[in-house]
Amino acid sequence: MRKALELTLGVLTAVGGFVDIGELVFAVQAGVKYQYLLLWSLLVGTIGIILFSEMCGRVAAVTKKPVMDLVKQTLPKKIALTILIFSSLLNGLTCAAELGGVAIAFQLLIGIADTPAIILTFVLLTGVIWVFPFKVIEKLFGLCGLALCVFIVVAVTTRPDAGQLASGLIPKLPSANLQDILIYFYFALGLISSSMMPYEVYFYASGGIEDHWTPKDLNVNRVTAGVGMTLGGLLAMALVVAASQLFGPIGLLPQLHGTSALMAVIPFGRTGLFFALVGIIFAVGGAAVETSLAGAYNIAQYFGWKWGRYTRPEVTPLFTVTWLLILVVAFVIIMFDIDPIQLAEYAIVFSVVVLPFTYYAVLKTSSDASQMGKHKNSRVITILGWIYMVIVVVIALAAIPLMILTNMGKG
Amino acid sequence: MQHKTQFIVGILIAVITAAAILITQTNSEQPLTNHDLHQQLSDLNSFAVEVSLMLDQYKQDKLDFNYLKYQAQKIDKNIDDFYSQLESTTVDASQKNDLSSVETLIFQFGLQLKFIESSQGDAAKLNQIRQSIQQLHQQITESEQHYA
Repeated sequence: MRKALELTLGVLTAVGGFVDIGELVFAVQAGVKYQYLLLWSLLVGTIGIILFSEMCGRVAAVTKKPVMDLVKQTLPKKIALTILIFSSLLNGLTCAAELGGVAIAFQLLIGIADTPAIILTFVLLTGVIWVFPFKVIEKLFGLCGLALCVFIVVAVTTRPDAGQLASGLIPKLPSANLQDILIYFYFALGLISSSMMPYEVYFYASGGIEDHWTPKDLNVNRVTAGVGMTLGGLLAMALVVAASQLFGPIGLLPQLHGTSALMAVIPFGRTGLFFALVGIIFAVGGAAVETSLAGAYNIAQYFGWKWGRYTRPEVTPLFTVTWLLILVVAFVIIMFDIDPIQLAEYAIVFSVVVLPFTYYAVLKTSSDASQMGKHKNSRVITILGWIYMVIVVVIALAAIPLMILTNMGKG
Repeated sequence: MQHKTQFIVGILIAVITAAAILITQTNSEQPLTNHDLHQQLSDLNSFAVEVSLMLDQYKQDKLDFNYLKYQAQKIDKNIDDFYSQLESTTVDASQKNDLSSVETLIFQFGLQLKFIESSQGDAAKLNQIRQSIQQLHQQITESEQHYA
C-alpha cells in the first residue's frame, strides 16, 4: 500500500497534465469530430511524457538538479532567461485558466454564483498549498483526481469496437479537403503538446527533489512516471472514446468543459455526475497547483533562492511570495471574466514553443556520463529521446501557423 | 548590456504573442460570409443539442438542477457573445435578412436559456422549455443546412 501511495506524484502530474481544462474540451471535441482517428496522437504524447518524465526524475534523483537548472547549464544564458520568462508567463496564464475551470466545476456541483465560486477556489487552493507539505498536496490531488476514472468506466460501458480502437492508434489522414486536414493536424498537435506541457516536467522533477529522491529511488521514478503518465493517457483516451460514442451520434460538439461531465450522467445519472465533477475539481485544481508551483520552482531555481514545499512557507520566503503572486495574478485575470478555455488553448499552443528547449536540456544532461555516471541514458532511450526531439521541433514550428490558418481549429 | 538584452527579449515575446492573438482575432472580424453564419449556426445547433440532452436527463431524474441551471447560464453567456459578434460584423444590404434571421434564432434560444435559469427546477416549466428547444433545434438545423 505504501509503495502504491508513492506513485501519487506521477498520478498528480499526469492527471493535472492530461486532464486539465483545455483537454476536457479539446479531447472531447477530437472524439466527436474524428471518432478514434486521433487516438494515435495521445499515444505519441503519452510515450513522450513517460520518456522525458523518467529522464528528468532520474536526473533529479542522481544530481539533485531540477529541470530549470538543466536549462540554465545547457543553454546559452540569454536563451535560458527567455525560456524562464516565457514559461513563467505561460504558467501564469495556464494557472488562471485552471483556476477558472475549478470555479466552474464548483458552480455546477454546489450551485454558487460566478464570483463566490472564483473566490472560494482561490482561497481553497492558496490554503491547501500554504498549509500542507508537498507529500500531502500530491496525495490529496493525485488520489482524489482518480475520481475521473469514471470516464474510463463510461468509455468501457459504451462498448467501443476494439478493431476501430486499435486502428485509431495508427496515424492516418481523414478523407477531407485541405482546410479540414489542417484542422485535423491542429487537433493532433494540440493533443500531443497538451500531454507534454513543459510545466509537467518542471513540476515532476522538482517534486522528486521535494520527495528527497536519491539513486535508490530510481525504480520508484520509473514506475511513477510509467504508471502515472499511462493513467493520464488512458483518461484522455477515455474522453475521446466516450465523446465519440455518446456525443458524436447526436452531433454535440462541446464548447464548455462542464459538458464532459454529461458523458458520465448518461449511463450513471447523479452518481456519475458527482464523480465526474469531483474528479474535474481535483484534476483541474491539481493542474492549478502544478502551474503555480512550477512557476515558482523555475524562478526560485533560476535565481538560486531556497525553494520547496517540504518545509514551512516562512522558511522559503521568496519562493512562497512567488507562488502566491502567480495565484493572485491568475485570480485577477479570471475575475476579468476571461474565457478560461480560450486562455488554456492559447497557453497550450504557445507552450509548444518552449518544449524543444526544455526537452533538449533534459535529454542532453541525462545522456551525459560525467554528470549521471552509470545512470546515464541507455542507447535505446537516447535514440527515442532524439526521435521525440524531432517531433517536438516540428510541433513547435507548426503550432502558431496552424493556429492562425485554422482559426484555432474552428475553420 | 544584460538589462538591455532582458528588455529586448521581453518586448519580443510580448510582440510575438500580441501579433498571433491579433491575427487570430482579425480573422474573425472579416466581413460576414455564409461560412461565418454556418459556423455560428453549427455552434448554436450543438448548444441546442446539449440543452435538449440536459433537459432529457433532468426529466429522467438523472441530473441535478444546479448543473442544469449553471450550465445553461454558461451557454447563455456564449450565446450573448455570438450575438454581439454578429452585431459588430460588417454586412452589406443583401445580407441583412440573413443576419437578422440568425440573430432571431440566437435571441429565441437565449430566451429559453433564461427561462431555464429562472424555472427553479419546476418540472412542468422545464418540460415546456424542452419542447420549445426541440422546435428551435429543428429551425437551427434547417438554417444551418441553408448556409452549408
